[in-house]
Amino acid sequence: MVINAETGKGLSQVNVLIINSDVGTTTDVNGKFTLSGPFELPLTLEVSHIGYKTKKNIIDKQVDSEIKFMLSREFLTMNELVVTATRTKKLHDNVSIATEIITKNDIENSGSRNIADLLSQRSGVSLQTSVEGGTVLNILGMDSRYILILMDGQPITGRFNNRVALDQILTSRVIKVEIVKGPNSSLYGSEAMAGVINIITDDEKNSQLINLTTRYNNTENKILNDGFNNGSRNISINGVKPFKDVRIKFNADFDVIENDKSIQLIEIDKVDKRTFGGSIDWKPNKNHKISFDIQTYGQYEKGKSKLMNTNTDILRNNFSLSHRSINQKKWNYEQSITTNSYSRNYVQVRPWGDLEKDDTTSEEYVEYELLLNRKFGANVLSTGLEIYNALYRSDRVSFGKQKIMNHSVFGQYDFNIQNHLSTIFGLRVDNYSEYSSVISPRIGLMYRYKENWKFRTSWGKGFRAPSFMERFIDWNHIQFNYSVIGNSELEPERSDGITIGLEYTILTKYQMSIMFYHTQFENLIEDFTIKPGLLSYQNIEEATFSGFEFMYQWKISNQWDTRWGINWINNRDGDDIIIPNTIPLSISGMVNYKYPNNFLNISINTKWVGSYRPQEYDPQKGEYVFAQEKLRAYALIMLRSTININNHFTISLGVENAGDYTNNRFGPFVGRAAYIEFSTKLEKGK
Amino acid sequence: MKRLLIGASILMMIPFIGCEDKDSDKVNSIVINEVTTDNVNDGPYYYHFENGKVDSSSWHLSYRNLDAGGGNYMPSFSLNSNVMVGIYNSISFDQIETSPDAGIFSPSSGRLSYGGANAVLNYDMVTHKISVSDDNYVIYCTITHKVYKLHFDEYSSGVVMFRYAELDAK
Repeated sequence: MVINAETGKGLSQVNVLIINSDVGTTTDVNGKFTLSGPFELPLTLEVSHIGYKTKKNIIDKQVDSEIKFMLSREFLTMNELVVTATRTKKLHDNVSIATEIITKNDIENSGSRNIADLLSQRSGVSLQTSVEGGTVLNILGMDSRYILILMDGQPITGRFNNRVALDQILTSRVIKVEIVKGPNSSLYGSEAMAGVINIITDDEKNSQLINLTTRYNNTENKILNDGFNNGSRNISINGVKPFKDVRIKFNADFDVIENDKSIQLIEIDKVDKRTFGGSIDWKPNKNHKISFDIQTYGQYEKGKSKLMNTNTDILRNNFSLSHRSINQKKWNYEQSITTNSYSRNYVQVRPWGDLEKDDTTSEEYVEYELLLNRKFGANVLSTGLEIYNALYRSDRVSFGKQKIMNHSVFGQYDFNIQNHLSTIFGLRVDNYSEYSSVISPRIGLMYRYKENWKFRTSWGKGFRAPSFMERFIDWNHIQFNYSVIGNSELEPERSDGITIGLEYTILTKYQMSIMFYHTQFENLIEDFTIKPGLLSYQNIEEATFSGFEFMYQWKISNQWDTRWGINWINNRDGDDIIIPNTIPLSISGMVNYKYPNNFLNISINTKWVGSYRPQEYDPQKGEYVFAQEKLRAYALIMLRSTININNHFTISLGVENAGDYTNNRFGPFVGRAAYIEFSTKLEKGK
Repeated sequence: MKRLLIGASILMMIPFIGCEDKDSDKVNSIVINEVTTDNVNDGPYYYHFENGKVDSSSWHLSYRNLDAGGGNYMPSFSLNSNVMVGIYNSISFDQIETSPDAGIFSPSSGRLSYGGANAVLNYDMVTHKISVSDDNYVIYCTITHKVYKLHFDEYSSGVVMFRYAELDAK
């Protein structure tokens, strides 16, 4: 029998193998397994499970009674499969490109409801609420325009102000988030100039599962003034039902935010977010898998004042159909067709009936993707192609409609020499219908010394194709009478970056890593003034983004663990002036305490942001100007405790921004808040 | 004993009930006027407090787009030269019931305009949004010697809502 050392209960789906033989099995729902002999003694029995420390036991005499194995969870994720850095599944431990994983546990301990909140708790990440809607996220000091954000490996359609609104991606069905740093256009093309964030929602587990979570959240100010009315409420439900060859998944999320300061800034009183989705995986035989996935997201915003009523309706639909070959001896392939649509309708009506604005933006995206890979011993050759067609309609762009078509091919060779040296070579060619081809190479290297030390370095080129808005916007800021026109002659932004990192790991105890990065940008796209009152975009000569980050994870005991990150950023343009929104120094930390038998889990998350001088865009001068005063250093503290009533039911209580720090101009805009969450989970192993 | 306690409680409530009525009377003695301007992008707007109407020939308050330099314009309020203005923020707008000391008033010249010392409308370069000042303005008309309190509540796409009331002279 195999037992979870933390809960004392049987662990299902554990691999049990007699070493140097073909004999093996997996444990059942109660953690039990049977191996029927006869076997030649002595033999070595190995039990392994992803996320748990592997155990071996030598058996040198006949055993008639039950053998027990106690498996402890691995503190670190090094034996987890990651996919983002190479577009093939690979053990985290063996990936030559620096990859950070935010696990399901980290997500739960953070108490975050959406990806924007989750990421903003980390050092080197800052978040600003845009008054025109959406969230402006800076990662390593770089605007999120330069970080490619994927959902299960696919780009997210529908941007506002050229950015993906990460507050529209709820964490309830997110299994993990993989963050790959450095230019990655050799694999992903446009936007992967400084890194890739892949939000993964499927762990491919085949157990039957249903999970229901409800949450109520409110700020201290609102509770004191209005009692418990007008708080934010959320219900999410997701489940998996496996059949013989088919697996069905479903998910639904309802999120209501009312009269919250974060949305009142953009003159909204209530936001309603609704997600529905489902997928069907079908394995007609052991070598093929066909998946169909559908997700629909609706966001409805309402604002009412004495002078204006506003309604914003956002609708996002994603469909994908994929066919994957598995366990092939030669080539494995995966092909998928994805169609994404996005629309945003913004209406302003005066209370006395006059229609002021009725503005619609929509985007349609169709992509075919083929990925091929073949193993040559420990080495993997990957190649693939992508073809996509994007159509953009907006009342704010010239001629109201624009489209773009792209063909890309890429190849990559992942070369491993014994267990010590891994290298990766990749190249991608993107051919756009609107401008010239872009070639993006990448080289990565990892050297392992004595199992515990890893040295990683990578060099790559990245690019970002100018957005529809940057090329074709034609809009007048009615309040201040400045106009913004696009520049159809814009060239893609290009980056050339290196990362150098050193990592020390003891799998069961701690991990320490330091990484330096330096990215040189060419043709960076920036606002500029053509003439007074008329703004546009231009490619500027160069800019340099550099910095380092230090990360530390330590399992102090079975009850205590802690994680820390320090991030220093130095981003400057060609004139050696700090790039706007660069926050030079930030530190994040998390301390977790687990009461024995997992009855209680307490997490403290903190983030400290160093003093800096913000910059503001002055439309009169047509440039960013430094604010008169420096913003003082500040710290945010988040607390969460989870009580596991039993295996199926948990209650969580949390306090956000416990120090009640707010800044009405630069954020955070919301002061101290608290929440209560009830979660029910029923899981039946196969 | 229970009846005695109930009776004592009712007696204790009487002074509070009385005070509340008295306060309401005071508030009710001042007539608050709520005004919504026209859209400034359709043309200048002029308002006369005493007449309580739009009047481009005789006005106290004007609202129009001001050249903010660099080809930009900015919605801006200004007062006629025949009125003086004071800022009265030590109490809330609703609590202002009588005219403050005359020392509070000074010439209005451009103080309420965009970029002025007590500008009504401000442009936030972080949010790129126009917002109204939270100041309470007290206006003294040098012709009629009447005093008004004035507060701006909201700006939205060229339209402003403000409240004003005539105050008893001290």
